[in-house]
Amino acid sequence: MRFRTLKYHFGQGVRGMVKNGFMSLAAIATVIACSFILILSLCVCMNIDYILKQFEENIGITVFLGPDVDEKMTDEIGERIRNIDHVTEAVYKSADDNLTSAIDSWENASILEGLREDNPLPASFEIKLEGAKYQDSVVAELEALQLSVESELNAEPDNTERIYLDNNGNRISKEQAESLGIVGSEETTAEKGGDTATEVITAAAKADAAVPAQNSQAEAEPAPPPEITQQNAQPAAQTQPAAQTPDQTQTPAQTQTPAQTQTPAQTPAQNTQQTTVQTDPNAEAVMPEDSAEGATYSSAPSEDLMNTIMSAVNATAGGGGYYIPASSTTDGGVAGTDLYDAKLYGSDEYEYKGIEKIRHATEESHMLVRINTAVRIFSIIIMIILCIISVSIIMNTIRLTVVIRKNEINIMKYVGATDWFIRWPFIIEGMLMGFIGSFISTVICFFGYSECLHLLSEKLPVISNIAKFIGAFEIFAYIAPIALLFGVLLGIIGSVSSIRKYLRV
Amino acid sequence: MSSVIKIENVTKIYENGALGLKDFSLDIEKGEFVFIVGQSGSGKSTFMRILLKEIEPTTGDVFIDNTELSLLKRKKVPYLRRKLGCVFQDFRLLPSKTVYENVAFAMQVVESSNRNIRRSVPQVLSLVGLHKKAKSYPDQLSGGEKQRVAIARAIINKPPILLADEPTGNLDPDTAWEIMELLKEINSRGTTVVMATHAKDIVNKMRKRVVHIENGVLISDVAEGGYDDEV
Ligand SMILES: Nc1ncnc2c1ncn2[C@@H]1O[C@H](COP(=O)(O)OP(=O)(O)OP(=O)(O)O)[C@@H](O)[C@H]1O
Ligand SMILES: [Mg+2]
Repeated sequence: MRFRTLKYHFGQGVRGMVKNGFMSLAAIATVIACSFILILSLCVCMNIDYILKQFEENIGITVFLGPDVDEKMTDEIGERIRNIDHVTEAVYKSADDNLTSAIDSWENASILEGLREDNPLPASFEIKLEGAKYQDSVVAELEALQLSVESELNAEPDNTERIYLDNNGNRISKEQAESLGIVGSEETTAEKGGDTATEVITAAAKADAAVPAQNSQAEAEPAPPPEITQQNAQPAAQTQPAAQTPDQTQTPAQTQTPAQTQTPAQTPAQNTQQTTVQTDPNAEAVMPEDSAEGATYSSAPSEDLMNTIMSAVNATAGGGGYYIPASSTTDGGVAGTDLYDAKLYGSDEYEYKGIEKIRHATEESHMLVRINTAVRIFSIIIMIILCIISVSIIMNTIRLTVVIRKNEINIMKYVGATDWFIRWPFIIEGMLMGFIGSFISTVICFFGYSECLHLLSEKLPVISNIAKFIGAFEIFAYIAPIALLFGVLLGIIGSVSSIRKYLRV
Repeated sequence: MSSVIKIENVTKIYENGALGLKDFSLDIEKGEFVFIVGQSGSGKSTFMRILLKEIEPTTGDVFIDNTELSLLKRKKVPYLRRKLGCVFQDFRLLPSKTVYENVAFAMQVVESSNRNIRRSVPQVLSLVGLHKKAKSYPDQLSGGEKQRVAIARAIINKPPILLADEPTGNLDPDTAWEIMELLKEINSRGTTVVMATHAKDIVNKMRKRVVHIENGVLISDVAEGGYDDEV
């Protein structure tokens, strides 16, 4: 379009608006009313959204760490939490931090100061999410993380005190044991029995005979007697001798045959025997006879000791979990592992050492999500209805002015004006009226909104404790363009649709 | 083809069943002056409106400048109309614009330059004898003057064809004659003029080609004819 034509259209548009003064005023008033309602509902919806967000932020998830989680582990857990989708932040709070904030939040909590020495509170991660609706998925991820942290903790061999016994049951040093071939490299991969647990490695077991004296046991009894676990290769070796390839044994992930986990109580007698089987490459060849020959059960220390071991193992097996390490991966693979973990760690009795507890407010977050969804749907419906009403009102208003100019349009058509040439002045006129109307509305609403905020903070200061509202400038930086665009589009749609009929000449 | 307007077997039946034209064929050469005569309701205006592509013929072809109108896209219709200046019985001026503006309007619509507009409008106004009334509004003019403005507007873009549907219908005989002199002048400058009229005396005096329609049917077509001439 040439510039002079644009100028012509603009002049015509302004002229049309001025000439049809009354109709233009009516149209502008319509736009004012419509964008007024639009701005009002936008203000309400955005503020509700904003306030809900504040609530949602308060509904974070807190993850409590066990007392034994070291710094490295903490960092790792923090990193893994932050890597979970929809987690915006995970702030580490040491036990001291938590105590301090507990003291701060209690008015008369100076008594708690005494606890500084022996802080009973755990360290934690305070996790914030993008929104309450992500809580369920994040909690699920955290639970998975909890399990995997647990596995890692249990897999760490470091803190285990090992007692090495020779074939005669005499205690020997590690070096001696190594020279005897009892302890191999596999030893390092042996299951860790928790901090206070002790492993008894016998010649019969030939290395890495670590049996997890289960952790709960270790924690439940702060000062237990050294739990001595012993290898009993018999039953498992019988059940799955062929399956024991070196590969499998070298990665003694904690696994368990599903069949065994799911029917734990059926054969209590077997329990004691199957519980602590762990095999290694050496054990591959260990058949029942061999193990007897190699002085295991019977030739191992005292009956008493063995009883202690077994009862300890039984106790840790809790309601149902058996512990059969690598040797049994044959049938399970990954699924077997999951099943094992879920069963063992998931049981009520189990106390986690890594991530002790995941605290979250399921009810509240679900409610917030529901409210939020409802508000959104409601506001969208309102907007749609509002737009339809606005367009139809403005169309009818402008149509009246177009009827007056029907003659003009007709003549333009006879002298060969293109449709667009005829439309442009009307578009510009509609744009101008829409802009003027929505601008007036925006200005009125802006001052009205600031005044409301002002009054609220003055007369009802309590409210600011509950929730914050969006500031006038912030919200209108967002709303004003929307409202102006809305007004302009309203004007354009109204005028273009109202001249359509007359273009058909 | 030297025919500037060519109509072949055109039939127009309106949606309500009324007959506009029936199997109507006509050739008009460039530079001709043609009267379309016939009783009221015979189909003269129907003929004009078909030329302007205001309505579509039910059957048959219409060529203007060798363009078949039914093949013309809607978007191209404005360009067709720029070839056809038109004048109506009721003048159709914009009451809010001055004489000058009414004429200039037609040039603005086809996006002529302002310079061109400023040069052409006074020329045409003096051609139709209204250069002194340039600043008057239509309601300050007589019927004849209004029709002169309408004619000025119709020819300002120099269309090859001028269609006039009863341009003298609202005028007294003397004024009507002035208008006819003007149309003759325009025709003599090369514009093809097609004029529908009831005015017997004018047709008879002008001695131009006369096409007679009755009930939508062409009943006579006489060069240098009179109103009542039969073939
Ligand atoms: N828009 C229309 N819808 C239906 N019928 C119409 C329409 N326009 C014209 N007609 C009919 O078509 C026929 C021809 O009308 P037309 O206007 O062409 O006559 P005319 O020769 O121009 O008459 P006049 O001299 O009175 O102007 C008439 O019978 C008329 O009733
Ligand atoms: Mg007619």
